[in-house]
Amino acid sequence: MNTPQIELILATLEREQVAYIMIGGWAVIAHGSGYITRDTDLCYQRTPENIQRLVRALEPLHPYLRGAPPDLPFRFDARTIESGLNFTLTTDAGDLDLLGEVAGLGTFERAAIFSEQMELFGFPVRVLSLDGLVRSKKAAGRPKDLLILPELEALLALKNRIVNHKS
Amino acid sequence: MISDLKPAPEPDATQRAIEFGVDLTLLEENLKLTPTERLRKAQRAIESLFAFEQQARIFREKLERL
Repeated sequence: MNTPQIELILATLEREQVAYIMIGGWAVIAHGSGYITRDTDLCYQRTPENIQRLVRALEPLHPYLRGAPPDLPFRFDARTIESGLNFTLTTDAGDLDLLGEVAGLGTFERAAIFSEQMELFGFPVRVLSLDGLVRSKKAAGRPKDLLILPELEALLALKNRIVNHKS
Repeated sequence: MISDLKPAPEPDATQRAIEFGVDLTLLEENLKLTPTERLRKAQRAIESLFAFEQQARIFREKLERL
C-alpha cells in the first residue's frame, strides 16, 4: 500500500480540471480535525466529459482495483467508470475511493450544495462542508463514521463561536 | 409541582465532545492553521505511521525467520 499523497492527487485532478468534491478523511482534516486517514475519498461528477477528464488525470497514477488479483483484466477507462458507480482503487499516490454518490446526500450535484471552496496547496478545491460531513456520517451509520461525529459537531460549534466573535 | 421542573439543559456540542474524549485544545490549535497547513500536518503524520508500520513488518519477518 502506498502512502496517500494528497497534494499529488489534487494537482493531478487540477491539471485536467476534473469536477469533484473532497469528502471523507481529508475533508475532515481540512476542517480542522486531528483525524488520520489512510485513503483519499472523492465524489466525482458523472457527466461523460468529466469522466473523460477523470480518466485522463488519473491514468499516470496507474489506478487498479484494490484487493483484486493482479491478473484481473481491469482497464481504467471511461467505459469502466460509466458502467460502475463507486471504485476503490490503489494508485501510485495511495488508495483512492471514487464515489458517484455520497451517503445521505446523493450525487455530485446534490453533494455540491453541502460543499465549500477551499484553497488547498494553491488549488481551488470543493470540500464537503462540516454540515455535509455530519449528514453523510450519520447516514452511513457505520461505527467508524459515528465515532467521528462528536469531533465534527465540536468543530462546527468552535467555528460558529469564532464567526460570532469576529462579528 | 412536577410541571414546574425544567429538564437539565442539553450539553452543547463541545461539552459532549469533551465527555466523548475529544481533545478540544488540539482542534483549537488546528483551527489556527490554514486548511493547507492542516493537510500538510496530517500528511507528515500518515507518512510517519506508514514508515513505522513498515519497520514493524520488517522486524516481524526477521523474528519469524529466527
